[in-house]
Amino acid sequence: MKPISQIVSIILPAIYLIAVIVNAYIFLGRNKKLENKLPFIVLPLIGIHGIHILLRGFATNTIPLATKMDALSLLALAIISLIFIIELYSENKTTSLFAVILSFIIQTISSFAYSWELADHPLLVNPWYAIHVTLTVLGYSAISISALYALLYILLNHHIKHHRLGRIYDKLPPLRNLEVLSIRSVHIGVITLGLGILAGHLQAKEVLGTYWPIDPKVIYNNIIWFGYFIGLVIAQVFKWRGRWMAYLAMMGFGILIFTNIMIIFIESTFHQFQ
Amino acid sequence: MKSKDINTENIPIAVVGISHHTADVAIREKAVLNDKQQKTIMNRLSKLYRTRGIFVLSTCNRTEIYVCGRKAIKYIEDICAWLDEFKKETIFTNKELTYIIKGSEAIHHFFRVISSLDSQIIGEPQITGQVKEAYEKAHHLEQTDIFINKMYNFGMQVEKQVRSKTYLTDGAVSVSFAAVELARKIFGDLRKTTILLIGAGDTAELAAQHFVKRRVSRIIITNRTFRNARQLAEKLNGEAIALEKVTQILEETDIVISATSGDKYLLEKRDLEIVAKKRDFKPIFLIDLAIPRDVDPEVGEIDGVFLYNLDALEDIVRKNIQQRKAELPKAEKIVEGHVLNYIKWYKTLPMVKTITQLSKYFEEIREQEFERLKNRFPDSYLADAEYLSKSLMKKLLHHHIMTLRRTNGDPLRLKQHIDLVGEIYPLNDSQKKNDKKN
Repeated sequence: MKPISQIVSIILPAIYLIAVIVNAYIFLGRNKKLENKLPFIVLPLIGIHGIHILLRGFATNTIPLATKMDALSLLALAIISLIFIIELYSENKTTSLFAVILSFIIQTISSFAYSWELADHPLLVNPWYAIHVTLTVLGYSAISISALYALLYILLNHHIKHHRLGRIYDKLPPLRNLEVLSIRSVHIGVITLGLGILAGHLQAKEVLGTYWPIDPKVIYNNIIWFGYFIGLVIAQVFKWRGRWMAYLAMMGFGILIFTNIMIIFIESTFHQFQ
Repeated sequence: MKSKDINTENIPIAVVGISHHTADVAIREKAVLNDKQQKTIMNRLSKLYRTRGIFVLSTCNRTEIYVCGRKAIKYIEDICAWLDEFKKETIFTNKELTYIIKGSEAIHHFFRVISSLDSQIIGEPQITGQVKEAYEKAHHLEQTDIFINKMYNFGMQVEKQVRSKTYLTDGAVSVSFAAVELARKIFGDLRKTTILLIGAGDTAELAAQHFVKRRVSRIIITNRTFRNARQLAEKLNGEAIALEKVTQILEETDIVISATSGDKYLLEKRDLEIVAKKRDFKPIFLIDLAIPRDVDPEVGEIDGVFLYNLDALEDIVRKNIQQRKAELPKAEKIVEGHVLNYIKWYKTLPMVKTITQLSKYFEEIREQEFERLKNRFPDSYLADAEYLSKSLMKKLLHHHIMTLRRTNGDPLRLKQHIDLVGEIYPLNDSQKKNDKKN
């Protein structure tokens, strides 16, 4: 099983790259029939990625969320899956290109940094762990999607403002729709991330004997979540919207990514299974 | 293979007509046929020339009469003369104004017309509805036959495919519609938007009507002359306000259409800066259709404000027209494909007729023999006996039908087979009578 899983983990970024090229070709082209089928081009990718995650689980003999790279891989899968669902119910079916690019980058990092020999750890056998990681990854995915739509909002806003009515203008959903999708995604992200962090605290109590372990990743993610929550409340109270809300969403996402990258280089965290 | 390569002059359809390609509006006006005239033409021509089918298409850009039937096609020039006499004009006999197209070329022309490839503005949506109306009128008067019915059905498929598989019908080709498309790109669903119309003239009204069709939630009209604003508000089911209240109402407005005949800016940058702040930078879309302009161009720099004047909208229209033209080859290919389908269908007609006659003949024999011999079977076996007879008949027919279908691609062999089948089996009524005598 391990050799198969290793092969699939290397092939997966290549499949993502093909999906990026196909999506980009359709996005930049003028073929209505293919455009409407864009979400379904992502579907086999979702299937293959799902199989990859399962194979990883069998190969490492753990729940397939045991390492940072596994969590990243799940993040990539969650992003394209959520976009697929969003576009199924949407008139515009062209934003999947951007999600596929983001997932391609994340999965490529993940595929080339996998560990294949995992130490036993009491946290990994606790069922709360699967709940915690799944919810947290979903939360991050929704926040990533929010930032993606915020970026597209800024792009489209700029194009309309400066009378640049080319492919970007043609293919993207309306400005208002991008704003609503971004805001809804961040709401979902804050809720699921909050629940994921809560599950993490409950697991910590069971395994480590305390709800509040002194751990950099726990502290930073709580701060980030709290920052997002406060940001949402303030945005609601002061009715922030439009371009500045989009910049805020992207800034929040930037801080999230930066913080988590920093944490990767910190050794003293119990999240560091591999 | 192109339809032009196939000799299909035998297709018994022809069209005679004038259009914007051949005549200016003054001539086209004279050629227009109202409902009553169309009905008269269809009834009279069908009797005079024994047309199998006829239908009339009369719009502001074309008047065309489609006729079906060998006699009608043979005397098409006489039909033109009759039409001139009917209209008391010299239009349809004037070869510089009128075109006569026959056979598969007529089918090709019809498909181009119905899919708006032949329209003055390529991709315009009205023509399909106009053709549909014309066909339904003829159908209601029982003036359509299988050739026209098939042409119409294929035509609707062409129209659908051109619309769904190409960008020929996409993109606004009028300034007002370009404004609507931009508004939709900003706001999405326009049903939740409020429009302010500054000016009550024709330009403002035309632009506003496009938005009203999109069922905007509220429309407010203002004008220097309040009476005109009120009149237009009644027409558009909106509300009128005095011009002095414009700045106040801007806070509640999402889309502003300005088309006054003033010579000063009505909306200055400082006004919109205040408005944008009060709206919490919610998008506001300003459409300035006036010359000289009503809106200070610097307004476009304000965050949350989108400003488009007449030039910018005309640029969009020009770009869209070019993009539509770029889709023409794709659309023509779809048309060509369906012309070939029509021709293929047309060629199956003799085979279909023969198969129908053969099946009918075999069924008649089966029924006769079954009636004659059914008393030899007990009642309980009758159903099985009938089933057996039907099954035998189908088996015997099967090879005839398969052979005819196989030779369908070769007209000469098909004709030979049809003639042979006709020699062996008495398929028509006179042959049957002779058969009975013998």
